[in-house]
Order: sequence, then C-alpha cells, then structure tokens
Amino acid sequence: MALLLVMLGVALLANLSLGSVYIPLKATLEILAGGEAARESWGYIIWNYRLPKALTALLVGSGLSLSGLLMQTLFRNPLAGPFVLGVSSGASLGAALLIMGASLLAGGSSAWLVNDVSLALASGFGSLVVLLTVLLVSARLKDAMALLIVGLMFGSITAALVTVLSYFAPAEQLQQYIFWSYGSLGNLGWGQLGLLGVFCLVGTAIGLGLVKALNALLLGEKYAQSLGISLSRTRAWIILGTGLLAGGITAFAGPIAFIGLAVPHLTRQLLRSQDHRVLLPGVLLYGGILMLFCDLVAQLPFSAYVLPINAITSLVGAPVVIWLLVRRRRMIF
Amino acid sequence: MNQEPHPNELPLQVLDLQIGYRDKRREVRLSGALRFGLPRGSLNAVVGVNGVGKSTLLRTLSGMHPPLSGELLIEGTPLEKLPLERRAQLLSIVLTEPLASQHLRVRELVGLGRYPYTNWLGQLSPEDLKGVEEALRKMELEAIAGQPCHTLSDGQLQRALIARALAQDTPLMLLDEPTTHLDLYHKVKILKLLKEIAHSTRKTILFSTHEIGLAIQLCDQILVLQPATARFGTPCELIEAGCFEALFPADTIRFDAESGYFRVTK
Repeated sequence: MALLLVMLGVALLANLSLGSVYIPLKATLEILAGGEAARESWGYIIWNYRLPKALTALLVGSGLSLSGLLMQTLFRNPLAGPFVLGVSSGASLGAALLIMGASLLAGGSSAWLVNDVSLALASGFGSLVVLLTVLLVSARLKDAMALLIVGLMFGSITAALVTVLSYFAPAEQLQQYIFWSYGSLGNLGWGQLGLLGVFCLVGTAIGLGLVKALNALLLGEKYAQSLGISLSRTRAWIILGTGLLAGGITAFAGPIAFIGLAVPHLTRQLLRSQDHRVLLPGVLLYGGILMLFCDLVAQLPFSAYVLPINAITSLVGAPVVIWLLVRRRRMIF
Repeated sequence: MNQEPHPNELPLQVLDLQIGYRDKRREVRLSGALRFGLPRGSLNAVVGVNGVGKSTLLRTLSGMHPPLSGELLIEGTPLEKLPLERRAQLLSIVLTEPLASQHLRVRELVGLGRYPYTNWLGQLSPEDLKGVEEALRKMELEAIAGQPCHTLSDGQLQRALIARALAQDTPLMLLDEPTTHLDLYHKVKILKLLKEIAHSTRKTILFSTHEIGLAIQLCDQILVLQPATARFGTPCELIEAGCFEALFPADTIRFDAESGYFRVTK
C-alpha cells in the first residue's frame, strides 16, 4: 500500500512534467510550491492545463475503479464493470441527443447549444434517467443476475437509439459525437473539477460505508443476509454509489473504457486479498496511477499530438491484464 | 412423549406452521402443519424423500422464505418481529450452495461469522479473534486455517462452513444437507462433531439429511416429513410408532426396526 502511494506521487509528477512542452521536474516542484516559474509560460501550463488534467485523471481512474469493484462484488461476476448497469449508454444517449438530435430538430443553427457544460449536463441527465430506471427495476427483482441482464438490455436499447440518431445526423455532428465518445480528461476547468470531486467524494464515502456488506457478499447473498445484511438496501446503495461515480465521471470526461473493469483485478493480484477494507483504498490508488500513466502516454511526450484517452487505456491496460493472468496462471476473484 | 420442557428451554418453537409456495394462481402446501419445539443443546435431523420440503422448511425457519401460515418463535419472539441484525445473533446457517468467493482463506471465512458483533468496518476485536480460533479448534481446522477454500476437500470445506456458523455464536444453527458429497467416514465425523458441539456448547442444531440410518443413531430428535403429515420425536419413539416404514414404497425398500436401518426389498 505504501508502494502504491509512492507510485502515485511519481506518476503525478511525471504527468505534470512531461507533455508537448517538457518542464523539468525541479521547475515543476517549484511551481507547485507556489514559487516563481523559471519561464512564465511554464507556470501557466501547469496551473491552467496540466494540474487540472492530472487531477481529473486521478479522480476518473480512482472513481471508475471503485465503481468497477462495487459492481464485480455485487454481481459476483469478474466481467462486471462500472458501466454494466447502462450508466455510460445513458450518458451516450444524452450526449447523442444533444449533439445530433439538436441539429436534426433545429437545423444548422444549433451549434451554439453544444458546449462542454451542456454536454456534461446532457450526459449526466442521460445516466441519471437510466440509473433511476434500473433502481426501480431492481426493487422488483430478487436475483442480482437478472439485474445484470436488465442493465445489458438497457445498454442495447440506448445503443440502438444512438445508431438511429447517427444514421440521420450530418457528418459534422456525427464526428463531434465520435470525438465525445473517445473520452477526454483535458476539458475541465477548476469549477467543473470541483464538482467532479464532490461526486467522487460522495461516491467513495458510500463505498466506504458499504465495506462490511461487501465483505459479507463474498460468501453469497444468502449468507450475507444471514449475517444481518439487508440485501435490498445494500443493492440500492451500491447502485447509487456506482451511479454517482461512473455517471459523474462520464458526464465530465466521456465514456472511459476498460479501467473500471481491469483495476479491481489488478489490485486483487497485487495485494493478494479479497478483503474490501484493503481493496477499496487499493483500487483508488491503483486506478489513479494507471489513469495518470495512460494520460501520460496519450499526450505523447515531446510531440504536439494527443491521442484519444479511450484507446490508450485499453492499449496499455489489456496487455498488463493478460500478462498478469498468464504469469500467475490463476485469477483471484 | 417425554415430559414437556419449559418454553424457555426451546430456542426454536413452531406452532401450526404451514410451509409451501404461493404464487398468483395457487398455493402449494408442502407437508402437513408442523408443531414442534427444539430443546436447548440438542442435535435434530429433518428427514424425508426428495421434494417433500426439507429445504423449504429450513429456508422458512431461517426467514429466507415466508411461511403460508402459522407461528415461528426464535427464543420466544416471532421471527418476523426480529430485525435482521438481531436474527443474525440468534440463528446461523450452513447452505449447500458453493461460496461466492472461492479465494477466501479458511480463517477469513470463519472470521466473517463474527460480523453481527463487529463495528461498521467489520473489524474483529480480540474477543472476536478468540471466537474464531475457538471455532477453528473445535472443527479441527487449525492446520489448514491459512489455505484458500478452493484447495480444500469436500469434508474440510464442510467443516470450515460449520466453523463459520459456530463463530457466529448463535443459540440456533440450521444446516442444509451437511453430509452430501462425503464418504461414510466423513459423514459420521461431521455428525459426531455436530453432536459434540450441541451438547458441549448448549446449541440447538437442526440439519436436513438423507442419512436416516445415521440420524437414528446420532440425533436426539428427528422430524419425519411426509407429503401429508409430519412426526417429531426421539429415534426410539419414531421407530416404535412405525414412522419409518411408510417413508419409502415397501416394494423397493423396507425399514428394519431391529437394526434401525433400511434394507433393499429382494
């Protein structure tokens, strides 16, 4: 755990110092400490661009990993991730409706409608609608597996609606939507970052409050109930926590794939534990580190290019997971 | 019948309990109305043919399935009036289904049994840890306490599951077919351990089983479930009353009252 903390610090500093403009580590530290920057532009880059982006990466990585852990424990399914309940498909539908729907209804004059804030609102609203529907349905379902299928079905429905919208949308709007779906960490100002921080903080607090119930769920739902855990209440809190984390993150940074699915597995392998008192801080740290690293790769140090973060998370993460599984031969779940 | 024990000495009391299922169209009643009480510090078995309602009875008694009618008292209080947290301190279960996580170590598994007594984080106090070690010792698991559950044999896993229920330290313990998948030696070993626990720690244990012959030899009381009726009593009383003869079709198996065992009809 201490190792993870140190690695997080290193990843954060590397992320701040490397990019299209290289800022020496010493200068980076001086700027962060409030000192005078050796070059004025460096201070500007750090404070207004790289630090918000690094903090976004940290929140996104930690939050998605935690919601992935919650989903995997709730469904006892190693393939579950933060988006299995349809949170990201809801967000996509919201974004698609705003970007492509507005242009279909209002014609070409609607471009002013689409900006970072309205996009965040639309996708956040989309996740919320799907989430509330899932919550309502879950109250009527006894079986967690059935809930998983329902979440997947919602995903299919929204994906189909997005397809229909894209079919009719003009090329320009379609491209804008596709760019949104790549995910982005660099669009948040300090105000939005604060809001995202609140979402993540509340989501993490809910996760922390669930630690005991999550550990009891390792035995199975019936045993958990026999230990005094209320299944319906626990399920509702898990859905709410996941919704806040994954929904909030998707609203601000777009649908970021893979991290939420992979980090809980990586953390179990690393810490060799199933205890959520260990796993919860573990996934928060590990998720943050991995996301900072992915962002570092995505901004292609010493070049002016920035790659879509969504592609990098999978490109970097998937081989790591495969390598770990092959080396250890056995998955801890 | 022997002398009626005082209700305080009956951790589990069942009054005209009707078990079964109810859906929109119809009501499926399993067995007759049940009326029995399990004394403190006794080992009790539920026997009956497949599908007669043994598992449903255990699920009803543990509050996971609602009864159709009748009353169910745990330590004198109706089960439905007990909040989940309190129930967890009165009643522990051992199920046939596999654990959701096979990677828990035996000691962690047993430690989860202490959850009804821990704080919001589930941290084990020194007293909890003592209870865990005690349960491990009673079920003879000390040597394998550090192993993950997927490495255990069926017999070891069953003992680990019982140790978890034991660590929960409840006056009442319900087990669904704890001896399936085990060879004769391990069946007897599990049941003897259960009997020893019931008598030494004054716990009331009820388990379902198909091992009627072993139940007759080892249990204090047996509940015989049949499609229309149910009989509860000591093994001797039930044998004298001829309860086991009618359990299976006589042209296939008959009960030998002399030895207390079933024999194949030739």
